[in-house]
Amino acid sequence: MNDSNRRPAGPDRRVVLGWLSGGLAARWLTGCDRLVVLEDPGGAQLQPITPNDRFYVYQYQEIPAIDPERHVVSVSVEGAEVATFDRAFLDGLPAREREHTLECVGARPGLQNLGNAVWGGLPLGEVLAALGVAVPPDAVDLAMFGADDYHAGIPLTDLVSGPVWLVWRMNGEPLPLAHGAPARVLVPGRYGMKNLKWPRELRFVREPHASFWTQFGWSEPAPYRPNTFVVQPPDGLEVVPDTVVRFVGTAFAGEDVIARVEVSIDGGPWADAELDYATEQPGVWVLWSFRWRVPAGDHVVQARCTTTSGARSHPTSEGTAPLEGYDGSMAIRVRA
Amino acid sequence: MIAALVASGAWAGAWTRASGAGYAKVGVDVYRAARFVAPGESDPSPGSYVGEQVGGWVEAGVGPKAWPIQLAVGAPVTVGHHRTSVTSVVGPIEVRATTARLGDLHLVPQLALHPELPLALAVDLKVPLYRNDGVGGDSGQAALFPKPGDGQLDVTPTLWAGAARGTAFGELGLGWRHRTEQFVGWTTPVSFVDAGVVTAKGGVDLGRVLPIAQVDAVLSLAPDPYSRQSVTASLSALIDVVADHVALEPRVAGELWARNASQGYGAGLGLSVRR
Repeated sequence: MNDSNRRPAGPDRRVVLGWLSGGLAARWLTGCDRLVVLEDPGGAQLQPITPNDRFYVYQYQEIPAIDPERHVVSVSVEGAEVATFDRAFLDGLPAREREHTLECVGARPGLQNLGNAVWGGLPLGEVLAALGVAVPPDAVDLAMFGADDYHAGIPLTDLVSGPVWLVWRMNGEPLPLAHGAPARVLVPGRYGMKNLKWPRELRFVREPHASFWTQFGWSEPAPYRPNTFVVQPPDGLEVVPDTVVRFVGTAFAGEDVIARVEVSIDGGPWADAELDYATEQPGVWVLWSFRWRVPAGDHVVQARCTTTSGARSHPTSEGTAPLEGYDGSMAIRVRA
Repeated sequence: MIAALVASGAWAGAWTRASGAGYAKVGVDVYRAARFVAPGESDPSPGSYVGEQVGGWVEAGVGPKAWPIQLAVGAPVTVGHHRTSVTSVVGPIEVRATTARLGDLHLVPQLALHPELPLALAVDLKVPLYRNDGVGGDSGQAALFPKPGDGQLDVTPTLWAGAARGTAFGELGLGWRHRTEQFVGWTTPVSFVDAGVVTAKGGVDLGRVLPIAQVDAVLSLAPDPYSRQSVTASLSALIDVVADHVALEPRVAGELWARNASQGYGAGLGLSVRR
């Protein structure tokens, strides 16, 4: 691994013209972005384990052009390399399976980027032990750098309390390149942006690491917030009056197990939904459903969740503070 | 994805405006990519790309009569739409991501190299007025959004020579696009290489109509997987329909070849005033 790979992938990578980044100029530079969902995936079924080809893919740039068989990951202390490993090393370890849900911090109604998979790997602590790497006692963060120059930091306490996993298999197959091959990090309790793909360096640092998206206002700790999605039917569905519609969705709150999902019709009282897939396992989503005979007229159907700790998704469909991750109780319109 | 409208052509020419002479234009261009290959990729990317651009351009002669100097400046607002599908828990979702930004500012001083002959040296300084790092940032789906440009400062000196016979004229520009590797607001591993820039154009003055045919080529001086290369052909005209020296400027253009970039076609309409 050369020196350039040890550099933090921040604004120091290239000269950034500061005079264009402040004041009036910054307002023009910010511009206007809009993402419109044109077509809902009607008819598809929500499965407890998301197939690899339906598992959401998101990265801040293009997928890096690496060869997972040859890619080498460096482990360092403040940039001083202490070990390296590759896919062959990982394949020699006794991987275990772990069911785990990932949700993008940018997920929201209409763009429900979340999925649940059975991952094959080991707690990162066990991988480090197999490498003979001892966690420096004075380190506070693990700064993770990807082959795409993305970077994210997590508190070192996550290695134990999570614990953080390193995984190299997904739903019984070698981890696909789009999902981070040769390996990705799973960070229980934190949104997908902390679950680094294509790691090129895992660096123990003595100061808290500011993650890539933090500079744009996204949450640095990025803990999951309770959220409820209505996945089916699509928003704006029209049916014949008195048709029985089965509403299906997800509820997730990271390590806080979902205890209950309720549905409200037109702002009325909340009624329990069926929990069709509820493992009571931290870090795994709940799939719910609710049947309702739709009378003539325009209606709003909203779903909310409550966790075992008593936390509840926000009463609004749009949620609050989008840069912290979605925390809403999604509502859809139905006409009969 | 790096969005770019069909190249607007050279921002200069062989004839340098005399002191007191000037030209100003406002225009709108639309562009549709028929094929897009992302930098670093060998296969075309899925989805479609449509762009619009509204901009202004001003040229003024400022030098002494014996040795003309021309200053030009232009800046557009660009709007790019990328339609594609994203994976989701229940299958693909069709989405359209739209980015609206100021585009690249072009500052082009030009010096006549001979007081009589149409021979000039122009230097095009391109300054991005946007930050690619922030594009799509609030959506959490930044990779879907077309970037307004490559985010880099470029310096392109071009030597221009021209000739006129009767009512016809021709111009040839040979330039060198230096990629400074100085990015404005883009943290990226992408590195661009310098390019040769060739422009050939010719036209015939038909009185109130001046049709112009033009070919622009941007060819990298070394092979690389990132730098935009293209050969673009365009037809345009200055039509004095409103009054003398006030012209409508329609333009159609198509990229005959492109690498590491979109390949498509576009059309535009401008209104210009000259004196």
